[in-house]
Amino acid sequence: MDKEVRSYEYKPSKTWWLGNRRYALYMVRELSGFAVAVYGFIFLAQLFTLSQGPLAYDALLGVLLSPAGILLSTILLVFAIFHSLTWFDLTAKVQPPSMKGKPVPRKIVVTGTIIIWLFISYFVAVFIFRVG
Amino acid sequence: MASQKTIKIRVKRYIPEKAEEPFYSEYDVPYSEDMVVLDALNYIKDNLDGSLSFRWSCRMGVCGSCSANVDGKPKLTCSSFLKESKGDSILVEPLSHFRTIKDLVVEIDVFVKKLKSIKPWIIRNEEKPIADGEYLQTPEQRDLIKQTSMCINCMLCYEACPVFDMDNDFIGPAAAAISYRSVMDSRDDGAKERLDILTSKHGVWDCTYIGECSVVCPKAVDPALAIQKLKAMGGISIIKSLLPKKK
Ligand code: SF4
Ligand code: FES
Repeated sequence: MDKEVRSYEYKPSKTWWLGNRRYALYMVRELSGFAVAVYGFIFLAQLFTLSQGPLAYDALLGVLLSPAGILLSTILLVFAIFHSLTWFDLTAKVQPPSMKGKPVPRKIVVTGTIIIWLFISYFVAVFIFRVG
Repeated sequence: MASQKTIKIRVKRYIPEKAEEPFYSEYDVPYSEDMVVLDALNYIKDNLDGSLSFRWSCRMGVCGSCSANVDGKPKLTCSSFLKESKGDSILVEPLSHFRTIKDLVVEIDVFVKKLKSIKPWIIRNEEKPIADGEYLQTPEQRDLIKQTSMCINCMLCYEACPVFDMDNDFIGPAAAAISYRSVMDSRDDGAKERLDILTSKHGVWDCTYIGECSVVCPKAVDPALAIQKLKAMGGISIIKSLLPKKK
């Protein structure tokens, strides 16, 4: 019996991720990873121009502070925040801390980490704006 | 006598001898509150169309053989009640991430191969003589593997996984969850070997944590979580192997 079994293969459609909220959110999360990379790139560019002297740095700052630059930063910020939140959510799932042998409920871990994150962000912001 | 209420069941069919492409057949099936989709399929097979093909065995969510897409969602047909459906018809389609052989029957070799590759049995460095009795576990040790032991190999998680759809070689949710179960088993000595398999090409790193596998799992196995834990363990194991060995 070596007759090959005939079978049918479904091809994924290009819009497979639109039909399900979780798939769509996943696509946004992947996209937000790209935004985080752009953020990192801008930071590196700033460091580089800083090493080239005040003129080069100011020129870059001028671009970043233009309306288009601010719009870009705002969009990147929204994506970066979204990306960070998905990480807190994941951490709470994968490594839930336990108290007296009982795992701490996920909601508490997520909220807790977000509060710590805001707290640290506040001090970083104060530090930057004081120094700057 | 009042006429019996009926419901329309639309089934996606594939009969290679008849047509190259899948097509739909519609059936009117007597409706009752306690009927599940599998009951409707069996009614069709027995009374309306004997050519309709589908798999089932236990009828109680244990064997994992009756998986299909019900109204577009991966489900066990034996656990999906007709009354859960909102419209006046129900759409039943085969799992689309596996090749269809006929109607709702899909080719499962691809999953069985994965299952074999993860060695779903206890690996011991040394077997103890039978006379020494069983390998006992404490309730706490048993708790660590309880959730992932619930897997019934229904493959619904593979149907929910877009990564598996793009790359059939991806180890996927259930095989990873079952392997996690073995890694965590107090009687098993194969953790290193298992993590090596799971962290190689097409292993757990391919998972992008979409999480839909855990949503559709009828046994609350949470394979997505098992994979993330394996990633953490795999990472630690890789770092350990890079550190200088203690003499
Ligand atoms: S993990 Fe859940 S969905 Fe996947 S095969 Fe096992 S029981 Fe089915
Ligand atoms: S028939 Fe066994 S799980 Fe549905």
